[in-house]
Amino acid sequence: MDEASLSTTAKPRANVIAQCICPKCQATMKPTDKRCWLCSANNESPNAYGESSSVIGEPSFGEIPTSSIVARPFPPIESSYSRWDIIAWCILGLCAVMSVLIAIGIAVDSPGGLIPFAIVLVPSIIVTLLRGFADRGPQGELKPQKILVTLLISWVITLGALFLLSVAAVVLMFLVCLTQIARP
Amino acid sequence: MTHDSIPGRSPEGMEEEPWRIAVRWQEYDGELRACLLRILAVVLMYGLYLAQSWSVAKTEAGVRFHQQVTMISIVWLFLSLGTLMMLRARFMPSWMKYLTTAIDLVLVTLLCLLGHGSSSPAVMIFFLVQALSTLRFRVGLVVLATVGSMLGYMVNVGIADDSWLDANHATPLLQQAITLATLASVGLVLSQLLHVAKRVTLSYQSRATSGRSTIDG
Repeated sequence: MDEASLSTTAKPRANVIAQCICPKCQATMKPTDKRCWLCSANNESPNAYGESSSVIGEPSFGEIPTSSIVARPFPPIESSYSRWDIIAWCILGLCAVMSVLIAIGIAVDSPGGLIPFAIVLVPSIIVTLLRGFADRGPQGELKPQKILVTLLISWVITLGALFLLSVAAVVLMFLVCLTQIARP
Repeated sequence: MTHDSIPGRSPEGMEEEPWRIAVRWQEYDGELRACLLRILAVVLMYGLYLAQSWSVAKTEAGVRFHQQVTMISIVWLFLSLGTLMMLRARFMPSWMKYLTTAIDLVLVTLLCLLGHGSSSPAVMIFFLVQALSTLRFRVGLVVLATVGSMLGYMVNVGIADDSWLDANHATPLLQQAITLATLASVGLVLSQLLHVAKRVTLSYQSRATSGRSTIDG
């Protein structure tokens, strides 16, 4: 084997997505996964394209070169990233509508309830917008999936923080009461 | 009926591997669609409820009910978003569809209980839960949704009634019977639909294969 052929066998690694394909169901997955998330096939399964895994210590699912995804007879459904982008935009829109509806609902019955609602909602929206605009693509396009994940994580963090603060307040109140009772 | 006559099943009664994988893909796709449709339904129904509550005079009980409905809507929204995130992270165990459907049924039952019980308009949402279960392409799930809907409805009927075994019923017997029969019939039709879809797929596959072999000579 000459030097040129060695370089061509080594080079394709740069052209490889960090994902594997299940030989049974063609679902894509991480190379570190021990079982297929869809059909539960384990990593001892033979490669669907007659190749063995070239990476030592990784499962024997075949890696997908970017050039070969299109050529596959049954492309994995979840590899259509635009579909997930559309779903993410839809959900972001529905979440925005639902937030407005809840705000209206709170305002109708108890306008004072808008303050805690805003405490939960506003920081998460600010963080999501800042991160969304900072993490744009090379063409300046927004990444809806990342925006949605950021929004959900910030909601969970805000709600978790509020829950912990409430628990801390109750414990503090209990300790204050105990000290008051213990005082002679 | 023997196993040989059931399409997509081997004589041993085990589901054939290609069919199992095709159904798993449909489960994934169906769960995704169910999440989106659930969020859409929550937004739509909460909006309709809000529009209706605008014209109703405010009472203490009404305000409490409004808060409860809002909380249930938020829980439903978070359930769908959580499921969606799990699917995006490629976490889809086989029990996931049963869990999400069971939570749907519990929330609908709770919504009816908080409202007007068995005469609440929220009873109609049981049909939506049944329809959503069909998207996941599992007859077992349709059965769960149907039986769960009937149980949920009967819980509402039972709680509204002070004494069960007498002539006086908060929900008329005919209304109970018709609602239960309709829920059962819808479940039956939906499970038949799944069987028909399976038969059509396998029939198409066999015809396409035989057609190709004829062309190839």
